[in-house]
Amino acid sequence: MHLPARMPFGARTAAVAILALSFCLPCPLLAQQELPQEIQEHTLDNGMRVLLWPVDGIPNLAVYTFWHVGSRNEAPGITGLAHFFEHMMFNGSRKYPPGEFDRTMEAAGGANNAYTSRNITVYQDWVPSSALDLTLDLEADRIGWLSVDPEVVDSERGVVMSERRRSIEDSNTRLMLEQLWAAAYIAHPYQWNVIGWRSDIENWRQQDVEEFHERWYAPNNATMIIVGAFDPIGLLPQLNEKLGSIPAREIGRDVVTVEPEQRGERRIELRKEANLASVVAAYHVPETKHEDYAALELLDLILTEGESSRLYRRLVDTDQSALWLWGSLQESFDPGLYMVMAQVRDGVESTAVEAALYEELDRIKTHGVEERELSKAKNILIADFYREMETIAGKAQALGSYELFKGGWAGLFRAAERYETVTAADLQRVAASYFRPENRTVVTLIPTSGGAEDES
Amino acid sequence: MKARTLGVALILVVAATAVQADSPTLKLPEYETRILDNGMTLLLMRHDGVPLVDMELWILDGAAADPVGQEGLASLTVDCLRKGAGDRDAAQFAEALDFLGAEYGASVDHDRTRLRLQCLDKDFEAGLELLADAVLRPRFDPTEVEKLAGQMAESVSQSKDNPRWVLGDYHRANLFGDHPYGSPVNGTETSLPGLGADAVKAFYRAHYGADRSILAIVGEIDIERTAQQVEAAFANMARGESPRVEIPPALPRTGRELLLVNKADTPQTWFRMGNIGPKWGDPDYATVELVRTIFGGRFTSRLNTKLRIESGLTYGAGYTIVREGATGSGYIRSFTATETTQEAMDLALQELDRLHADGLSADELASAKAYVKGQAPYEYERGSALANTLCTITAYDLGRDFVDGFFAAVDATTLEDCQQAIATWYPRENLVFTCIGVSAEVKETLSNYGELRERENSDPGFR
Repeated sequence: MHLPARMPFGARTAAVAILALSFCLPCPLLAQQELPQEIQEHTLDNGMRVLLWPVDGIPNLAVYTFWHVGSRNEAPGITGLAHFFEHMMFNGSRKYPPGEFDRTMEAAGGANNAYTSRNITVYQDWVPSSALDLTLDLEADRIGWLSVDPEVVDSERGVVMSERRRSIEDSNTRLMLEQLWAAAYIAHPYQWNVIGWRSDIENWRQQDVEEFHERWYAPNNATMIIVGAFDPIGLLPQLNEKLGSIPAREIGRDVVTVEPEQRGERRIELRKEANLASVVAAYHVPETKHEDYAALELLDLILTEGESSRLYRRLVDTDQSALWLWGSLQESFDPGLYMVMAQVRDGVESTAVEAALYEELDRIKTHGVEERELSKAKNILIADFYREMETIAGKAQALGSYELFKGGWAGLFRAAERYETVTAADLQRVAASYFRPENRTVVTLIPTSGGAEDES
Repeated sequence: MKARTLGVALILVVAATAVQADSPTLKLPEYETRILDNGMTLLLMRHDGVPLVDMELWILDGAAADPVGQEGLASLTVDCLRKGAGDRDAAQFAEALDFLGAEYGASVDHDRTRLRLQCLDKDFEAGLELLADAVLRPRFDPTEVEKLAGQMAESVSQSKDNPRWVLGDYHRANLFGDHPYGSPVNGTETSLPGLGADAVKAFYRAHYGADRSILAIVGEIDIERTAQQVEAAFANMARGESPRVEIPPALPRTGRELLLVNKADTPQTWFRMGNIGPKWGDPDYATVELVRTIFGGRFTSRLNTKLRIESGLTYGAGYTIVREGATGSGYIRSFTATETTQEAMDLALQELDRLHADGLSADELASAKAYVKGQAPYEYERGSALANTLCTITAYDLGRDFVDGFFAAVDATTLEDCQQAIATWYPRENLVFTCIGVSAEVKETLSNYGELRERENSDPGFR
């Protein structure tokens, strides 16, 4: 789950996308996708990585900086710090006092945002091409010389508390997910929410923030991606001067904890004021680099994408036991979760929704999927690929996603191979491997008041 | 969501050549307009890039046509279109759409009904057939209609579990009252269960007319060939049996009134405060947007600076303008912990006072000009955004100068223009407040802002 940190205005809901491309279906225009020759890949003097993709189009840029740090790099007591730190990256550095990063960028026609996930932190600048130098200067200053003002720490803590209230505590869905991850993981740091526990938010110290910067925000832990209307000639020396000169540092020790195998279903109840019940079920699945991940992506589409998906047809349309449902598989460095959530209809027992859900999963385990369903899922990926490629921001996001999670950016242009070779038999095998009751965690929201006649 | 789409600057686009960024121009790509014999307006634009084609169809009647007591009818009708159309039943229609990897959307607001379909270029004919089936040959099978009406009714009650999903409906009802814009487009817990196939069919016959339809198609298309295909597909679309609904303008509200919606388990107070605002076609679009940018339209806006950046009272505060055909609306919006309700609302009102008392500074205006010009191109990178823009400027008679003249209008805006826009469109004395919060904790405080009326979140509807 991405937690957009600074949302109110950009409110650019940068679609969390799955990308793909060109299966050699009867579709010649897709076959021609080749590695764009104009993409350049550089490693600066200090080890910071840079990807440059000049694109003709709007006179603007997407400057995305991906950091290999997220809430999985936290520990009890400092949960939420990665996300809080992301906020602090906008709050003052050597040349730009608190507030100046945003004011300066906006006055030059630019906007920005950032998000933190369990795995990574991403800073997004959308600026006119004329503001490239300035943007690099702003980024370099906060990467190399962030200053953490204690007063700003306290004020920003209030902002994050408000964000937690708004995004988690005032949302039944998000509260359920918070409980879900906390129950599904007993050892690995995926167990806490990206925003962190309330009591940790209240107690972060200045020193925690400073240490976090020291440990993770080494330039050699980042990949900057620039896509849009710019002239790459001569840019490399400039990047080296501004960003490459920031001293490299040792990066913190990566997560070593491996979540032990789950040996039995875990069930959590959440009792809360609500009009309707809901249920979410999750299975441990492998990390994005794993060979089964592509099959899981396709399975998710077959199960939950669109009104022709298996679960929509069964739960929403035929049984009419759910109002809506969604499935989610997130890019991750360590083994993650595949989640399916359903909003239970009034007067229906949530156990009935669960039973139907498991029956549908079992049906795939027993009978597999149809070839046409598999083709449909691949067609959806093709169209989604072009949707993401339609904008410079989408291109930057896609490159970063492949670079960090899928074995390198060039894989974006070989996505065809990634999915083409996956067969219906693979989907059946993968469903059987992961969709097992003993590998499952379930959270049920039980309404305590507010028009829930089905409560008694 | 709808409010955001409409409220945000509908600026637009395009395609300057790379790197001459100092004075980028903003110009809507060329497009062709054709009027079909049955009165449908067809807009065709060639837009190269990715192999996707975007179709957007507007029918210029929407939720304002819902009869009293049948709120949600326009919305139910448009949602039913895909539940069986032409030769396909609901499941077959869904499968055909999904197999193309197509994106399909159907929605209404008060002014209009909107359908969009995006698919790969190579599937254009198949996509067009699905769109035409939905619009021209819906089955309105009673079982499907009732199923949907039931789902929508429960969606309303489920939305009430999430204050931010329903604050807009409450504010709309509070601001517009009995005016047609005051009704909730998605209906209420009590209005929807009574709606069936007969009501939907009647609505469809009355309002789904070629005479009030606009279809925009954007992509790597051959204009002539595409025009022929579309004419063939839509030539026999009938005229609407009723005339277009005429929506009178809403009058500004006077005085200060506050609606408090009690939701006992929320940890915070959500608030909006405002009045009616500019509608589509009102002059000074650029000026109003520049003021909004400075006051509440970007991260460093005055509202966000006071309520978030300097005080940490909220995750976000801003100003939204929702433009519609007859009357628009404008409001300050934010949320804050229950115990800081008064502090946050007072700060917001102080900023509104300061806006009137001190106006804007020259630096702020220069920054806002750079900002709206720098950000405009992103909003219209996509074919879907261009299709939406074509429908908007056509439906509201804005002309292409709405886009092509935008940068010049921005450049020409003076501080005096802004002062005038503030006086006209950012009301201070007369405000309608809508809050969702814990009544037991905040009622007394809130009664200081105006005449207070209270309702339970769990009561049906939004009035």
